[in-house]
Amino acid sequence: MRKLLLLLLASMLALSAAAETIQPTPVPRSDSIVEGYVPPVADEPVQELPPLRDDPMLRHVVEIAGRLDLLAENKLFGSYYIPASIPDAALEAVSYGDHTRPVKIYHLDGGILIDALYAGVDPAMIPDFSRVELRRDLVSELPDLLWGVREETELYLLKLLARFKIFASSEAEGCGIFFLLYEDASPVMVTWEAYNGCVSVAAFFMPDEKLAAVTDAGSMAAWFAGFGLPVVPFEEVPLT
Amino acid sequence: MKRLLIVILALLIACTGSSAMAQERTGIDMSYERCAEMGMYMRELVMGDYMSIKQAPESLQAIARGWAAGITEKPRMVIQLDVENQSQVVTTRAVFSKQPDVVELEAVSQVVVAIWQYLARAAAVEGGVSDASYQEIMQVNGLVNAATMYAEPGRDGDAMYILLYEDASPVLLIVSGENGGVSVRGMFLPSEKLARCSNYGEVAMYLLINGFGMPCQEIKPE
Repeated sequence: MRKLLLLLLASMLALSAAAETIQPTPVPRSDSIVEGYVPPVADEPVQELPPLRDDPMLRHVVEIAGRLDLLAENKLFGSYYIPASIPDAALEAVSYGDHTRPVKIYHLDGGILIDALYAGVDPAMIPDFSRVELRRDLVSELPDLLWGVREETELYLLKLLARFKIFASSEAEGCGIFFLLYEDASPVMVTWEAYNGCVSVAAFFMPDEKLAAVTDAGSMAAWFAGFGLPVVPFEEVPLT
Repeated sequence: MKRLLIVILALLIACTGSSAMAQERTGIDMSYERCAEMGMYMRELVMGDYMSIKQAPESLQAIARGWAAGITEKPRMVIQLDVENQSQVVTTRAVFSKQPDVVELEAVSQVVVAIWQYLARAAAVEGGVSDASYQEIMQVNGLVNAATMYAEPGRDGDAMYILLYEDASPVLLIVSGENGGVSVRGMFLPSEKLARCSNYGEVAMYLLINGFGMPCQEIKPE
């Protein structure tokens, strides 16, 4: 037993020494845009679009949506992250296209949606925390509702590929939803919630032909209302 | 002799932890008070009148109440886990070091989530605080959905904290800092063995036995 103990001690010491020699490089977390990301090479020359408007929320929203692509297309991460049983075709069906730069973005203020959901209810009957809770649920549960009825594998993939990030902002407050539409790529939904000087954003693929075909704020609101939600005004976000 | 062996192992892990902590690679540094506040928030989410819990099946409500009712403002112990130096995280960083930063960041986040899921599975297998199944542990945590964030520049990286109470389920905090913000997610980790740990060495041992050896240190109240 003493030999075993000595052996164990020696191996623990060796392991701890080895651990100290392996110094992981601290990873600087970029405060903007996908650092080092090389967009997929297109078959045909892509038309240069003017740079995005200098708005932190807009840039973070576009970045997190682009991150969906990066992760779905990175072979090393994909092999590590996406189960081998998922066919490539299923992945392609939800993540098709290049999500570097949206052509249209629509936004819905979460406060407007919450007011619409509570329409007709006596404000005295609504506890203070209820609105906060609804705001939280709105951000976390809306993607499920808007994905609608789909195959189990597809729903699993949509959840698996969702991406999240957080950034400091003294300006943003409340919550909301962005819908990003692309040229020949699956639409993306980005939910956001802000408090305590921070904004958390979450991006989800939203492969839906009717959503992809939306052309203005009116048709956006109509698509949204199609899920049994109130008719609420969307605004088109200027990109440049 | 077996006990001696365990004590020596725990001491070795704790020592390795202390030296690694001294290098300050964790990047996240939550105070005892902030951790305790998160525990109280989880209690409020379960014991308050929140719809998500009230509308859940009675069996899940009962499990959640059993875990949360005993949470107090003063956890018996708050342990910081140095996730950045956990071997799977270190390996993942090495594997993804040639990839864009964001891929490495996302890969590490996945490891952190996997650690939580594995520990929840282990808690379900060992039974104890409530004999809840893995599915129930996940369902209750999903219903409670305890998350918060705060601004704190210069806090980058991932960390975990374990909160132990006299009479409540242990709580695991998953903390991630980026872009000047820190996000905190709270999870009930209803392991009886973990609940009974009396010092950080035993917590380190518990994690090691479950395959996630990593340096730990106790965070004291200010």
